[in-house]
Amino acid sequence: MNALPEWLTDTRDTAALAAMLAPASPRSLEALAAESRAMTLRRFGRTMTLYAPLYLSNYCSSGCAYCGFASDRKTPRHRLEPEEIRRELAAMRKLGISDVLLLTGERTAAADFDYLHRSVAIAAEEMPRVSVEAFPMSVSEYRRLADCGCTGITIYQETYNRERYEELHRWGPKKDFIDRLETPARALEGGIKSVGLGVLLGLSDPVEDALCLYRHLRHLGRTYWRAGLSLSFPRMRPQTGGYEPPFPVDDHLLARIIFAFRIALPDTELVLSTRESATFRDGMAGLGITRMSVESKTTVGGYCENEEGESEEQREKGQFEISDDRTAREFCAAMRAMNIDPVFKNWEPSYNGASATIHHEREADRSATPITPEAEPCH
Amino acid sequence: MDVLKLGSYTFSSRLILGTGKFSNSRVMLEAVRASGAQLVTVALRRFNRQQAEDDLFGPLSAIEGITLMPNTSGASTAAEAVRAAHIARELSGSPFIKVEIHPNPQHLMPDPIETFEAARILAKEGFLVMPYIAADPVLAKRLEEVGCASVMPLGSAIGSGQGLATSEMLNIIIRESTIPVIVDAGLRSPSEAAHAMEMGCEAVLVNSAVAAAGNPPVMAEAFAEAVAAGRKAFMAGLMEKSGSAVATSPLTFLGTY
Amino acid sequence: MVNDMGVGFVGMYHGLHLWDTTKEIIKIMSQRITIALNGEEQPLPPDSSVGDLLSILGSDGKSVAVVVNDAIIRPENRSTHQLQQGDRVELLIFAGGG
Repeated sequence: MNALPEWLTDTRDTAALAAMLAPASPRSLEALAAESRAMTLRRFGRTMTLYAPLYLSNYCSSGCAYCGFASDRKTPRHRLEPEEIRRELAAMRKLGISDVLLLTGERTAAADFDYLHRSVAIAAEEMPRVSVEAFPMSVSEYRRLADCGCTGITIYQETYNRERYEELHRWGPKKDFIDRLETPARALEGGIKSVGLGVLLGLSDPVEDALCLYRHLRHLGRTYWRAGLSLSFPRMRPQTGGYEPPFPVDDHLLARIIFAFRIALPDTELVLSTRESATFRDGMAGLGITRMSVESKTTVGGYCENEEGESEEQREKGQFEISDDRTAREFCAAMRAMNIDPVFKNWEPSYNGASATIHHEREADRSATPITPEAEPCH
Repeated sequence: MDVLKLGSYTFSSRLILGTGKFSNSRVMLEAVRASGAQLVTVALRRFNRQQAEDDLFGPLSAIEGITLMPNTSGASTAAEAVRAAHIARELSGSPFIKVEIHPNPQHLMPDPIETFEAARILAKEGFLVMPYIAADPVLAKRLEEVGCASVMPLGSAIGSGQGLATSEMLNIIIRESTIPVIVDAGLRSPSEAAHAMEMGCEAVLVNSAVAAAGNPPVMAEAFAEAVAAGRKAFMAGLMEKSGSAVATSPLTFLGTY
Repeated sequence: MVNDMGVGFVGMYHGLHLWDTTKEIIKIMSQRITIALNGEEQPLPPDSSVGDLLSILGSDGKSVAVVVNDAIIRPENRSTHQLQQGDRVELLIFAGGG
């Protein structure tokens, strides 16, 4: 078994964050909220950038114990064909969405890299910003995605507790903890401009996971300093597999985690999805969260279906149940009522194209023969 | 053991001492000894028969455990700095080079473009490049990418004694850097050196503050103690500040607790 | 230095045939070369090496870097590297600096 990298286990970097997250922290939730709010306002102003997910396919080869799309679930499987993707995107555009997150399950023959690549190319014609939450890829695959208009990759470690990770990922390629851990770096190496990290809160000790998440992000930030980085705080929701989260995270702990991350990382985009209730999301807007999904569907497609008058019983089950089911219009009205400007377009595709990476050159330079080959003794 | 690592070299002292601006060599050498510095900067000068005591190579080499780090002062372009580095290496026998390029002799602010170019070339040639730069976080990352052994941002203008005027930028550089960050220039008092170390600097480089002190050797010792104390504090981890912010936003949406 | 030596010759060989002596001096003088040492003119006997220059200047060369026409002359080559008329020679040492 490969050893964990030092950046993941070095606790020095997370001392301040750990102090804020400790159950016995002397800092009240109100005090953290006030500081987090002030920092959010200073750095992001009164804005909320919006995106929506589009599930391209629910085929999956992995056995994640907690996921509604795991390969042993009975849910019907299908994928969107190019024409369907275009229709879904057009329906999303009507809602105002300009920033789409394309999702698939683990790599399968039905939804492989070529399928994803084609889908990204289609989406990039319709949407100013396209990001992908799919399966781990190679550097060259990420480069091809970047070249056809993918600007962001979302890849959650789910949990940084290796034992829990190996239990939960019962089979499939996702079982490899280290490979998963190295995936965001591969994406950035391949010229993807931003990566989103996260843990699925509820799978393992949430504070431990949060600290590791922070170290992962800081490691990537130092190494790929041009990269955009964002963090999500998905909390286990009831989903098709009937999995009960063993470490449930209540509202207060989630709020504390979000405030602490904002204080520790003033410049990082913090994301909250429609897994959370309208009340919680509205409360967090302005206090620390700067990016939210809106009017999400977690079924394959889903944005056109209602137009066709499909009945509730006919509808397939999504990856997880959403909690905030407001329309984009309703959501934006709620934001504006709080004096927050909902931002649909935050990216101009003319800036697309792979990011400059001089990483390789640097590595080569470091291995250059030193003038004095022998190590100097410690003085 | 907590040591300063630069390339394959390790140093237990985190105080780097400059040897300029002293009233005479005797005081300078005394200060070097008192500082416990293991890395000492020197400058290239033309040989002059009339001023034989200017030649510091012999007396500095005689101090045990000293590694010389020549600088490229006087260079105003990358090409001049590279040339100076080559000559300096002949004398010092060490791969360390402090790249220092200031085209304007009035304020001695480093030229970022020439510095980057010289650093890139010298790092490729195997030098342990220690570039003196303005406290610019992006430049620091670019220099890291081309293989510098450290970055040496200024705390404030050379010789100004304004302390850590750039602390906001230094904090960013320290947070983002994967190579040692060494504050070079602008420090006046040992407490400022301690502060820089508490912030997470790996070392500080001091010259004027010692050379122009009332008693340079004693001040050198004071700096050494301050640097060691600051490093210890950083390694120990400072206590969290108490939250001074006052809650202005009710958290009623979270329900009662 | 040139003048000093010239006077010395004249003084020492006062008893010799004056014309011969003068011829000798002119011959020696015309054989001397001039280099630019740290930016200033420096005459040298012909066929001087870098090592010769250092000993004329009273330096053991250990703490001096030598650059001739922009090329560094390493210590092991100093005794064999012959200086030519018009060479630009830089001798550099380590002095105080921050």
